Formats: sequence, structure tokens, C-alpha cells
Amino acid sequence: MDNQQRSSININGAGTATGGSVDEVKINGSGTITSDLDCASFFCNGTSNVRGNVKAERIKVNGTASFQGNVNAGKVKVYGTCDIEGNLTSGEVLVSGSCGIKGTVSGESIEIQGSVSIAHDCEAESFRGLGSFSVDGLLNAGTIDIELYGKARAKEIGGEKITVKQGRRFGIGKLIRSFFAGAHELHAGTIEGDEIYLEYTRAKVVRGKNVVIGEGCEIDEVEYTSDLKISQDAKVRGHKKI
Amino acid sequence: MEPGLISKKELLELTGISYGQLYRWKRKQLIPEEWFIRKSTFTGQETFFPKDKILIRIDKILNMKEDLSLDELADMFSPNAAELSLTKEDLIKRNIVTEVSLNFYLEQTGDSSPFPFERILQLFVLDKMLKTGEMSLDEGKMLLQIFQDHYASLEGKKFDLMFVRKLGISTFLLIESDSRVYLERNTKIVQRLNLNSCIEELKLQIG
Repeated sequence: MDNQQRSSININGAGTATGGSVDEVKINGSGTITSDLDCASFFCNGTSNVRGNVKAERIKVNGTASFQGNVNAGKVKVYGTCDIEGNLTSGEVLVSGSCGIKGTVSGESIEIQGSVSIAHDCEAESFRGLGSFSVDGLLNAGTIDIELYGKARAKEIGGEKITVKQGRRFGIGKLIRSFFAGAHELHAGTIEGDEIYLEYTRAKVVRGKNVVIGEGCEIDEVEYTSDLKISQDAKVRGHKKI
Repeated sequence: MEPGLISKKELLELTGISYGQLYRWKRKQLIPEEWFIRKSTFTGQETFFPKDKILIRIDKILNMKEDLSLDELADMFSPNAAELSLTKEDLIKRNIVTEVSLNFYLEQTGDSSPFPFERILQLFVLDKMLKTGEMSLDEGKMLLQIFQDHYASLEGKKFDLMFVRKLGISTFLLIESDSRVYLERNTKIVQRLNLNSCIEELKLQIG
């Protein structure tokens, strides 16, 4: 890409710009981009609204950004709030703030520290969920690592290695839990994988090769092919070896 | 359960693959999204697959994953044309098409060497149709025509080629795969060819 040939969009204050192919987009006040955008980097520190599809190498949102189309990026970092009407495709996704996606999400690695809601499927090679999230479709990743610091929900979960643990960063977790029972839990319809370790998870069906059902779980049915361990603090209504 | 469908559980038992593999292949788009059919059953939601298609596909993946990486496999199954070309001598030598079809094709469309994938595919389909014995050479011209007119809009999509005949008059249709077609009473479907599986077959023979 020949960046020298491309201009930049800089909005300080309030402004509107058309999209097109540009080098850098910086929005510090409140800005609207009125068409499709292809850029090297997109930084939003204030409020921005893009009425089109975005293709970028890097996207960083510190304020509020709303994308009316699909977003395709090498790296996406959201520290503020971000809404995407279409699909999000990105090599790396990090959400520390909050992010809502109306379409599907696919990427190499996805890390959630804040809160994310995805209306359809979410696919990645590695998925790390430290905050609260909801996936209304299938959460499909090679390794799924969830530490529960909030409410987590997925209609279906599938992958190779699935680990769900209670968040242990705060020592008073147990005490808080006793006040807000049910707050830090994963709810899922089905969970399917090769290696599965679960804590504080409510699911209808869990299917896997080696399955460990840890403390605080409530599972209707577990099907496993080689090994199953159930903690004394877990409720499992039925299990069978296949 | 509907005939022609297989549940995920049965599929894994039958093929011996694990959930992890199935999900990885889905992520890599070795198994198309449309094949995951979700249905409510008395145990809740379950996923079903079109039995014949998925069994053939898994068999192929298992057979070839020793030699090819998952990304290469994904390329093979994708409906996008491969970056491949062959000379006409290669096409004959490797038994990809018959000489009769090749000569007819050259007569109709002129020579070019080496052949890009797009032309190899046209030729391959022509050859396939001629071999069925149900298509004449004249009809072959129509087949090439429909390809030339519409190939650009086929890129990256899944299409079937349909050859229909009504009272001695024949024509070709290109329709999106998995869509149903309703015909008038005297019309007969002579052949319906899934172009995507032709592409796969061809890529396999070339590669």
C-alpha cells in the first residue's frame, strides 16, 4: 500500500467526511464518515459514526464508535464503546470497554475484558473471556478460556479445549457470591469439545472426551467418551459413557 | 428423524472424529455452514447434517489431511477457482479430459496455452456431459455459451448446471445449488450437475 499517496482524515471538533481510501483517520470530537472507508488506522477518541463498511489495519476506539456496516481489520482494540451493525472480521480483537455486534465475529484471537454481546456466531482460534459476554449463536474456538467475573452466556459452545473457571482475582469472591448468587456464571445450551473443564456453569448438555465438572455446576446431561470427573459441589442429573 | 439426515452424535460415532475436529473444520470452512442444520428434538436442540454429503466430505478430509494442510484443503473445497493452469498436452496425458472433447472445445473457443482453471473447468464439464451420452455436440456449443456468458457471476458461489429437454428442444440453466426448480409437465431434466463438486473433483485430479 502506498501510504504517501493517501490523505488523512482529521476531525477535531465536529465534522463530516466522506470515506474512500485514506491513510489515517483520527476523530477527536464528534465525526461522521458518510461512506465506505479503507484506511491504515482508525482512531476514535470522541464520538464517531461510520455509515458504511470499514477496512483497516488498526482500529482503536477510546470513545464511542458506531459502524453501520461490516468491519474488517487486522487489529481492533475497544476501550470505550463500540457498536457494529454488520460482521466483525479481525486478526486480533481486544475489548476492554463494551462492544455490541449485530452480525458474526471471526478472528484469530479474541479477548474480552469488558462486556460484549454478539447476535450471531463467534469464531476464533483462541477466545479468552474475562468479562461478561453473550453469544446468541455458536461460540466456536480452538481454545476457549473463560474466567468468570460477570455473567457469561452462549447458546452453543464448541471447540477443542474449553476451560471455564471462577474468577479468582478478588479474594472476596466467595463472599460476594453468597450475596449475589448466580451473578458470576456461565449459561449455555450445549457445550461440546475434546477437553472440557467447567466451574460455575449451567448447561443442558455437555459432550466431550475428557470432562471435568467442577464446583458450582448444574448440568442436565453429560456424555463423555473417555473420562469424567464430577466435583461434590456440582449437580449433574445424568451422565453416560459413549 | 428425516431421511437423508444424520445427527452430530451419530456422525461422530460413525467416523470416529472428535468434537474438536468437527469444530475446527467448520472454522476452517472445510464444512460449509449450510450443512449444519439445527432442529428441535425432544432432548432440546440438535444439529443434523445432510448424510451423504457430510460422509463423503469427512472421508475426503481424513484421507487427505496427511498430505495437505487444513488451509490447502479449505482451498480445495472452496467454490473459488484455483490458481492453476495446465497445457492441453497435460490435460490429455493426465486423463483429465478425452481428446475428442478437447478438439471440439478448441474448435469452438480457439486455442490458448496454458489453459487457466476457468477454461479447464468448462472443458471438464463439457467432457463429463458428452461422456454421459445424453448430450450432442451441438448442445455442447450451448453449454460453452452459457459458461462464457455467466462464468463471471458464478465466481465464489455454488451453482448447479441443469440440462433440460422438452419435446426435442434442449436448453441449459445455471441455478444456485440447493434451490428447487419446478418444471412444466413435458419437460425432462436430463442432467443436474453440481459445479462445486466438479471443481473439487477437478482440483483433486490436477493437484
